[in-house]
Amino acid sequence: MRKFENYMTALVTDFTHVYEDEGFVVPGACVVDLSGVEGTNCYCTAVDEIEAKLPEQLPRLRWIDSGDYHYMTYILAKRETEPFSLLLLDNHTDNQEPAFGDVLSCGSWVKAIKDNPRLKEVLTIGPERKDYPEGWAKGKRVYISLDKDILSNEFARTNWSQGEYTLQQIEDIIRKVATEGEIAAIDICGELTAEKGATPEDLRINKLTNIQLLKLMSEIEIDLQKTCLYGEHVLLGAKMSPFAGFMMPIQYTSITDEHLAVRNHVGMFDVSHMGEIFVEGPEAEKFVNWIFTNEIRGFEPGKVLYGMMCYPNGGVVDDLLVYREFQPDHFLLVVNAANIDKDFAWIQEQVKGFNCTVRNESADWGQIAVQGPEAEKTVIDVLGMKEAAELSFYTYCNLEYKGKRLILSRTGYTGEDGFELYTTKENTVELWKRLLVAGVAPCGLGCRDTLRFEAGLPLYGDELSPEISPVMAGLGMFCKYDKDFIGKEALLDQKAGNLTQKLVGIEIQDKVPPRAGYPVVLEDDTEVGIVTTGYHSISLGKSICFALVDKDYAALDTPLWIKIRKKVFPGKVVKKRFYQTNYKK
Amino acid sequence: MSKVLEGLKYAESHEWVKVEGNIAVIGVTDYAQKEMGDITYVDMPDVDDDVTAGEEFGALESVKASSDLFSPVSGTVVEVNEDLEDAPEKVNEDAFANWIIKVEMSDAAELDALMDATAYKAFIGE
Repeated sequence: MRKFENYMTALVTDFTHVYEDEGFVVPGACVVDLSGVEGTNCYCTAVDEIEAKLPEQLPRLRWIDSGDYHYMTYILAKRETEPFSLLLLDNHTDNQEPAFGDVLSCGSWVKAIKDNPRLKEVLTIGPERKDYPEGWAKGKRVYISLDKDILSNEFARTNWSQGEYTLQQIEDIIRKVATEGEIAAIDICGELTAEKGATPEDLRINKLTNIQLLKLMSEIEIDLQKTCLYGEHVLLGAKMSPFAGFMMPIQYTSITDEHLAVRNHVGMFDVSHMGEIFVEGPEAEKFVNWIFTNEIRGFEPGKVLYGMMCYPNGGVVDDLLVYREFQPDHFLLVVNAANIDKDFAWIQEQVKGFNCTVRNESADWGQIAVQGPEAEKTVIDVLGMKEAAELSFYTYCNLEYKGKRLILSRTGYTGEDGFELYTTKENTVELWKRLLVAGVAPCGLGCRDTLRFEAGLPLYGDELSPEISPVMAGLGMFCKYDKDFIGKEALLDQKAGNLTQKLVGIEIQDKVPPRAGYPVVLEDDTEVGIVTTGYHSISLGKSICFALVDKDYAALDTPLWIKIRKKVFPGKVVKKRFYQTNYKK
Repeated sequence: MSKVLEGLKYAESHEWVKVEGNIAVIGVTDYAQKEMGDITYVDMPDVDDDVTAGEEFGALESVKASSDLFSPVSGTVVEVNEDLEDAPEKVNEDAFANWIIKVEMSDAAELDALMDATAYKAFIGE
């Protein structure tokens, strides 16, 4: 089963457990255990099986084990959706004719990758071309694939013949590429396993080089976008981490304190990374109703509606908010940051034949969420937006701030009353500063997740995905079947009972927190599901989680066990809305 | 700056060891607790469990993350710090005063592979 990690900083494809032997750990990495997959050593006959185990979203930084698995670049590059140039840093060209027919291998993958329709060119630096051609990466999206066997024995120990490069030389090349162009991804291989004769010293050397490379990546922050509030977060000393392609604040002080500020008083979040897509034209309503699961006919200007966009098979493209604008035939779709490009491409594809236009303005808008029982008072007293008092939950109004549009929306993702303010980037920075000076607690994505989780709200990637439909996730109330929409037939079929898994809440009788990816089992150890999000709940003091389980075990009070490391903890199915929400009616 | 106490031994995985005869008292370093943030749970082994140098013996959980604990020495667990079951936050308050387990060592020579305070300070870049 695929596992998605929100805060993942890197992908580790673990074929041999060599990183464990090295003691090399990337904090927040998504580690995909491929050690049990047959047919992977040097020659790969398991491409489909590997692909199925990869997370839906790939971090741009990947460690892919020994050079025997360098063909992973071929597999991972299939996920590139935009044109890229491949920069191969390798003591071997990996460009041989395949030895056995078409079998993918560590020595021939560069031949195979040339069939990738998005690959524009390959530049190999190694024994044949020693120097990086200055300016080569200008204007390019560069996919770097590094085999550490290009390094001398001082910096790497591999099971292949090695080159003469120093780590500094390789770092310089990567820095140049990052400066000149855009880094699409970096794959790193060249570990040495104990099986291939690694001594503790070899493991130590390889670990140190990996740490240096990790440090380099964090310095160049590969290809991460920054919101208009990035500078504010840095000034506040926030702990920053990549999220959905953005460098975002995870916490400023502590997740617990920020969580409690929102539950008991008021807190604010930078949510400028979210996407804003506008749909306009005579058939805008018809179109939005076709791609959106919820019913927008009869839904008045100034109202906001939650729902999903689905694939024909019922899997979820994204979950989103739809705003009906005050101008006739105008809609605003607010989508998840991680999905902006995917969503916009999907919408553009579906809009063909409809008389309306779609426009992605995500890069032009900033957004602040002000959340908590004191949110209304804050927005009125600090920002002077008296209109806040008139708004009920899931409605909005248009205001003007410094001559620019400001959308004041009574919505949020915390289970508390609150507002989301959409405006220009300049205005966003100014609003943030005013709120900060007034004493509103800045809150990071860490507590945004604990808050939404307690309130029973799903996160795309964890509880909704191309594999997890709204019906499976228990969100069928946001799908309206007396209209046509993409995915309707599949969802109706699932609703009629034709589904295998359901999302449930589980509470365990211990303080240990269940985490995403932990197995859900029966008393006899049969695995019946997997945890998607879990915490030792800050507001409730209980260990609770969402889990996707076999539908036969989804009824309330069903006893289930969660495997946490070597132990198994008993629990039972409970309602997913763990915390009593406090929305303004 | 993280506190590093003289006279203790340190592992690269950020555990400290205080040697009392044949008993190794094991905890995590101040640096580790800062990296973790608010600790909400300490997963400990049972008394009489065997532990192996370099292998996992438990875990620290914070709100967001879980981090395995690795035993710096091999031996048998003779005591676990039961105070941490109800008050895991004590590790944040003073990581050196709040040990996690005590191990009767089977091979005291394993201590030689660990760092002293000076080497550990350099290791964490302080």
